[in-house]
Amino acid sequence: MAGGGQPRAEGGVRERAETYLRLLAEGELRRALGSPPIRRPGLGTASLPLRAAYRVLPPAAALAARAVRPLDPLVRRVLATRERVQGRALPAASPAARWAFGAASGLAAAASTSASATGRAGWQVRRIARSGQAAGRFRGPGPARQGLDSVGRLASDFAAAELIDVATAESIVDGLESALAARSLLEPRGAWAMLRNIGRQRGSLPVGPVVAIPLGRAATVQSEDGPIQLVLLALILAPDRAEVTVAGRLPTVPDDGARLRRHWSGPLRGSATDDRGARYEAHFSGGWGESRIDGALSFRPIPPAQASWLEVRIGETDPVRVQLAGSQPVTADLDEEPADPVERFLDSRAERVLSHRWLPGAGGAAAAPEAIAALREIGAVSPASPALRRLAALFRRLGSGSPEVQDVPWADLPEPWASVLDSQDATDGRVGVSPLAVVFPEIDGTRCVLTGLRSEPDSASLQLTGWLGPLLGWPPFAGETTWPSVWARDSAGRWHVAAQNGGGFGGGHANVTLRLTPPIHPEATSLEIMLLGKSGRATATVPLAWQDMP
Amino acid sequence: MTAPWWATFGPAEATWRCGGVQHGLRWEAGRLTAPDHPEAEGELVLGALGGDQPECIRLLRAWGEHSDDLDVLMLGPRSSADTLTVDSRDAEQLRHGPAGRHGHARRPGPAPGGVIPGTPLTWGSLWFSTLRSFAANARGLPRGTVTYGPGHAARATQVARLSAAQGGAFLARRPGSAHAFLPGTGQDPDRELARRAELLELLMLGPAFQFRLSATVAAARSEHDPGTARPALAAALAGRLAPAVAAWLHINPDDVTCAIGAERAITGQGGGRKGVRAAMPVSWLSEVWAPGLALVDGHLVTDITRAEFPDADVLALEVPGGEPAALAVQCQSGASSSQVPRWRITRR
Repeated sequence: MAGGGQPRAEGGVRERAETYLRLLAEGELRRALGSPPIRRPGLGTASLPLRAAYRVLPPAAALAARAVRPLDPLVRRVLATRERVQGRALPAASPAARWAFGAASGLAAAASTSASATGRAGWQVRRIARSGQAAGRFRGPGPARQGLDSVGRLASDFAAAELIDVATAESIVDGLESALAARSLLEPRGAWAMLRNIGRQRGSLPVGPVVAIPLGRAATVQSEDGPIQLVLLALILAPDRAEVTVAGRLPTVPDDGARLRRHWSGPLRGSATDDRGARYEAHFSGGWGESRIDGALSFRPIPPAQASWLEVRIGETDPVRVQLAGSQPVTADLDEEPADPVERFLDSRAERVLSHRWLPGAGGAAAAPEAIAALREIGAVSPASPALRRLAALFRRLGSGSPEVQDVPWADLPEPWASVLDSQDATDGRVGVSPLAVVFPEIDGTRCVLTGLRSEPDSASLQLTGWLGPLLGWPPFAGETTWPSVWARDSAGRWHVAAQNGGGFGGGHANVTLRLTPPIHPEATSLEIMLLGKSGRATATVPLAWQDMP
Repeated sequence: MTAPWWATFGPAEATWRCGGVQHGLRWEAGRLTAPDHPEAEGELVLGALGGDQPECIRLLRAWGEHSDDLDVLMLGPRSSADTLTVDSRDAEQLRHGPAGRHGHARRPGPAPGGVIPGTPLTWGSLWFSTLRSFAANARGLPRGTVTYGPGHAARATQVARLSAAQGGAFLARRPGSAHAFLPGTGQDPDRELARRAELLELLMLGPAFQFRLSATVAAARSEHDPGTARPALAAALAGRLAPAVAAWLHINPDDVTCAIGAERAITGQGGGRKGVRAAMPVSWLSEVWAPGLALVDGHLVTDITRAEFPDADVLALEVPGGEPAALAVQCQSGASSSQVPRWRITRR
């Protein structure tokens, strides 16, 4: 459904998926309304026949065949399944954390999980602020919000697995939200879902060439707390954006809390001139933690494609002249072999487990047990599913007794997964930065450019500049699951899985830091990077040109 | 049921501010009328031609627009204890749209429902609007009323045929399809906001009208194969049938499994599983649930065999799995009462 068409699932599964979701929404509405107190029939309040019938209800044998439609086994178990799996979800993130990271993930579920991750990692995430309405969705505590989160999460997963179309998913969640608002069960009151839908900015892929040029130049920017040391990673020039991505180190500030609260984007400004004398101003957007800062300087106006060169100046450093004409970025090879959407979804859940294992307690929620249980319930996946068997093998390797896959025979663990698990405790990564400029083709309605690799002893991170297509603009239901998975294999044979760890989405654009687990092998000289999506996979190999970390 | 679905409903009345004064709106026999507008039909035509449309007339048109709208069942009440709190601020908020958007004003020209927004008024579109206004009911109407009633889905089918015959000049909802805002599919956002605002205004008329509008939608939807609307209808049924069965059996609504079915049966789950399963047709919503007949004196009503408000003959279960008994029931609350209808058994 990367192109926004009809879901690929066959009609029966599609109908069961939508019914499952709508019944879940009904159940959550009823839960929010508060069921009337359950009163068991007392001797004086119920008739004898009723009491007898309640104790021993007759079997349905005679009536079942004609009374029960095909959906009945499904609806019978929706709520039971929800109850069974819901208890193991991570606690909801704080509203602030959700706001900060929700836009990045674009997904209620991902917001809950990833925001916790963000909090634990001590990152201050700065969203690419485009719409103040970002904070309006799934905000605040309470059973109504929790129920809405639950439905939104599963709607996202079903849309990602192409069991229902995005419009249906949005319609169901918006319908529930409107029903809750119509009963004053949501605050702020009157936050009608449709308003946000219509106000939502929708992205589009760049129309025209995307140019990426590696820079690898150091720069220093003065701040009131001392110099900010940066490496200019790459220049990206597209019809709708012009950016220089940066990675750097913040000056030492005694109080870490003050560092996190400080808005470091203030001093991070830049400018550029081109060969025709036109001038461009740049401002920073990105994220920072206790010592590091990553992000991009966005130039306005956007330099024209006809410009021969740009002279970029950031901070007090000498300007860097970047030749635009004749640049040859590394482009990825595309293998357009489509994957089954449900299988890809399950694999993406396994990848999330692998990539979130460094977060204490996050692995279980990353697997989305509710979604797996629902997929099995509606018959979208069977125990014979290769992806489900891989997931079962992963859980077995991790010693996790997930009831959703207990009856699933194990498959062999894929080599990349096993490699990640084998090296997950490695701390042998070198410290350095390698500029990259790899332009990837469209996959699942997204485009991206990888612009730099930062290596540290226990992990590594990739800087990603991306675009989301028309149906996946903020806040996408498919969100994180629609973005292709990113894998890498270094020349020493070690595999790495990527997880989003900072940055943000806005207006169809993304500037994201991806954390690679485990660290890059110290002897690696090149990196093969793979993007895996439903519509295919793209692969590029880049040499690693290490520079000292600023 | 041999009687029409609305035969178990009494009339209902509400007031609405129209032209600076309070006007009455009356629902009776499946129809919404505006008694204070004796030339309502003419006013509707004037509105279609771009003239001012009084608030009452606008509500009549909105009632028709939403008479098969599944959003009614999503937003509407699940039981008499389920109170909606929408008010004019909610409708205004939608009507004005998101910050930075142009507010939605009633656009001059033809009623937007069914006409391609933004296109110039043509005789074809005017004819379309007029068709939707007057083909609402085949029966003769008293002078001074403009009505909307059941059968909207069927008319949509006719309109779709007409649309096809006109080379796609009209937009009509596919019969049987779920109608909801579909972002990114080219629907007119202003129109969609106005549509939702109108729905909130209809719900603001009060519980009596909320149940009657829900019944109208369920009746319209039960006339045809649910098609792609089956999941939405299954959820609408479950959201109303499960609480009724749960109240009947004093169990948790979550233990009631509901499905669309013509059998009108309540059975055990079988296999030693907890809870019950209930199968009812979609028409149960309009004929039984909406008029407040689901539970009468400890009986779960499954069907209506004869009705002429305030009396009805029903089939009802005293225990799950049993044979339904024929009962005569009567509504004890006043004919025009805005209270929850209270039905009692008058003859077993």
